[in-house]
Amino acid sequence: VKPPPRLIDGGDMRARLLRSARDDAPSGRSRRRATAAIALAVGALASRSTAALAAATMTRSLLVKTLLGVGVVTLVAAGTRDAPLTTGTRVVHPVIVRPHAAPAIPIPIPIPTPTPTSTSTSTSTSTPTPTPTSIPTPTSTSTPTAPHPTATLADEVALLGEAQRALEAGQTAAAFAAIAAHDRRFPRAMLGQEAAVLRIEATARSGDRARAQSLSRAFEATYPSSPFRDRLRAIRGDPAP
Amino acid sequence: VINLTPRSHVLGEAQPPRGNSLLRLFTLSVPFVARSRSDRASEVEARLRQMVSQHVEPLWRFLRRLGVREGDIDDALQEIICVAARRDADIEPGKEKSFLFGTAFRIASELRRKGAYRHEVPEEAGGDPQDPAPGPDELTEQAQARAVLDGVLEGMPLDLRAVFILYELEEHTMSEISGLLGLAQGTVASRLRRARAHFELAVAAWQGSSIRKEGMR
Repeated sequence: VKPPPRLIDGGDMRARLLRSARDDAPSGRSRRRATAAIALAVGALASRSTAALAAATMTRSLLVKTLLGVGVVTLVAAGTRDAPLTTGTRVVHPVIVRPHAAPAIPIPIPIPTPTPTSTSTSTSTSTPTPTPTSIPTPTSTSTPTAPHPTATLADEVALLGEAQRALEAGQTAAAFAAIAAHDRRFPRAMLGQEAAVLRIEATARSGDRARAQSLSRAFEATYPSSPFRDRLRAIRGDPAP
Repeated sequence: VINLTPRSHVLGEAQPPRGNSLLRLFTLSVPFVARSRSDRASEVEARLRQMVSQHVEPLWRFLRRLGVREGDIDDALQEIICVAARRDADIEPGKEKSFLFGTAFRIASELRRKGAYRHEVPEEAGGDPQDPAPGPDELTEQAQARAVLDGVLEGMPLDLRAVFILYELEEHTMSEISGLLGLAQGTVASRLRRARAHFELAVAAWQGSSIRKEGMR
């Protein structure tokens, strides 16, 4: 299609009217406001990235707790490797204990804090068989059904990331589904607080603000020193303290 | 992508004990998540700054000529920037201008629906151009012509108007307009033809009205 000549290039009234718009330009104030809007937009974007923020803000506590968990696992694993096996002894794979497992609110389950001694006891490596004729089981230190710790955390992060993306896309139903899947798969989740905050945010965005407020207050009562308190205040629309 | 390959694999070292895998994940993934978040925010901000620097002026003009009130243009621009920040990952490199103009058109459409225009003109008025004569003698010739142009454009349906101002005022090619508004080139050509016809009639109506007014004086 051959483009028609532009009216603005003519010499008639139509061209004169169109040329009157040539001076249209934003004021300096408009330009400054647009530039300022960038910082606001990026700030808002950052505050929406709850899942990523969760991992970042939880780094300290998570790392300490993880190191504790790793220490427990390592101790137990070392014990099982070095312990002499006798006929009739069955090696039980150590259960990974997550002392920091956070339940999803509003179910404030008391969280026991096991000591290395109690953990060693709970993961006792010997279960004597009643008869000396029983065949010893293989001394493998891994159980096929036991979830690998790295896969567990990666899966948690993936599910919560999915929930976060759904929230950002305004798909609260999908967000709820991902959070529910997380709760089912990880009843003693490492990222339980993050999941709870996402659920509260999804509840708020779905329009049930009363329920969101109730959940967020329950969360604060359960986790009074949580790093997500400011985030919850923002969700509730409360003024900063 | 998180590279969880243990460093010992890369270096050909002996495998560490299995019990250290969780620690390895954290030493790799936690700093990565924290770092990637700040890196991503920086990348988004840098891209937005470039987009605003390059396109804020034509965007402002586009919104102004689409009929958004001058007092609302800054808010509309801010909304466009927020949308661009949220949708950063969806904006293909090189398609930034297209994304911004498409978003601007949608926002202008919403504002028109809400009545946040200089003069609310129903869509039905598109085929029946209104008399846009402003009249005040104290207006300078340039300002008067601008006011007449606003009146003519406000009687034009928004989809025609967008194509018209991009072609006639921004002097884009029809191919560029097709990319900016996500329209087929045939649609662009058709809308431009109808817009020009509308413009022609509206200007003729204004001129006739002006002549009548002159005759009455």
